[in-house]
Amino acid sequence: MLIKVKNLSKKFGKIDILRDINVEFESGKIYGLIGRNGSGKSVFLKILCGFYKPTIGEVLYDDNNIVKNGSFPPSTRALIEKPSFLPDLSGFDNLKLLASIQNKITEKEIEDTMKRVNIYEERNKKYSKYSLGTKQKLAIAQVLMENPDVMFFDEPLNGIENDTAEKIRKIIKEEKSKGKLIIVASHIKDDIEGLADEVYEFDNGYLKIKNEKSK
Amino acid sequence: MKYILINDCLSFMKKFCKYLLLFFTILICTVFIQNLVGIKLNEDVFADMVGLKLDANGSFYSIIMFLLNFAINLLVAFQIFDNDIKNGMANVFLRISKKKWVIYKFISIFSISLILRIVVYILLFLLFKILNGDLSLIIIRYFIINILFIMLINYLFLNIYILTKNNKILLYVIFIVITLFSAFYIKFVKILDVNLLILIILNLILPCLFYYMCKSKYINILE
Repeated sequence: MLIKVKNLSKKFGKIDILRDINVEFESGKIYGLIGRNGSGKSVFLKILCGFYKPTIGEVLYDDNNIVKNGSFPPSTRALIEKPSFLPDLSGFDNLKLLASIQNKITEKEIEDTMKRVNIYEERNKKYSKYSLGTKQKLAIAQVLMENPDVMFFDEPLNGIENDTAEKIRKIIKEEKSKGKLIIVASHIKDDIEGLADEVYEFDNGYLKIKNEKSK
Repeated sequence: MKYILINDCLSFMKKFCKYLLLFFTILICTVFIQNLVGIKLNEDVFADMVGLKLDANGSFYSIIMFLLNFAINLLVAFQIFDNDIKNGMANVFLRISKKKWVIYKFISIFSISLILRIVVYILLFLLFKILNGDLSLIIIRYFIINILFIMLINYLFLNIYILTKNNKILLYVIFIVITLFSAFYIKFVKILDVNLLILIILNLILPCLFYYMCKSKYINILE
């Protein structure tokens, strides 16, 4: 999978959020996006997901221009902003209900994903009783469970304790080794550095490359 | 479908349970007050209670009941429509096409509005029977007109909402004209005398418009 972003700009009213962004993301790599809160990271990810339309520019998934087609990208999952689940259902039931939309995976696969992100023990607990960290881990499980080709994580380590954060980083690296395209956005540099192969920084609406680990 | 329906029902009940309880309490109290002041509980009163007696000569009470009944249903429609957009956009829209989502939303809005109307009708029917009211099978016709009218108003406002979200001025003006025309129509023709065929045709046109607008690549419903 190759995602090409061409001449992308986004305005809300008269305010420029993103300016003339040209970038390519390819499978088998982790890309880091850093920038302070409100710098446009989430808006950029929402445009990549097809939720927001850019004011100018294109987003292509291989040859599929999602801006022109007005469609959502294929085999993509995302964690953007705060995770949202049904408070009165258990974590497992929430994932099962979400998985029922496409009906591609079994209950066993959902349980395996919950084990991977360390929330299996709390699978039958109501979502409303979860701690902030567990809620975040459930949202990460939601991204991973259907084995998508492209994954976007916006502030994935929010509220997660250090040892689990390390485990999440390990999972993201494992997904990369399976050939997945992963973009991780955070306002904390430490969350990104050491994880991403390429790091980009949002600066006044422009996206600037910060470092390339692989080169 | 299962996800959309369960998510919509649970989210709606969680957020609007108190409004629904208030609505049902108002209905129950109104029936008892009318009974106490000696008003004969008949089909006319029933039509008033479900918001179907709005016309040029309608009383202030008829207007209030009309607004109350239709406001609660508009609340249902908007809450259900916005539910996935405001909460967990990434959970839903990356798993489903826009086309399917719009169809499922249509079914969800219709089902929940229908259930709510059925509950209102059963509640009023039982109250009228307990208080020795006089009702006939005409309330079945009321029910059909009522649900068609509610869906019509829901889709009219949802269409306006989508258009205003996307600043399509011309289409917005067209919808304002349609709304004014509908208000004018209601003013001179009693809701209960509305031609059922016209109501059915409008109920086919507006959801189709809603469908085409939602799935159109020129209109973004998520932003």
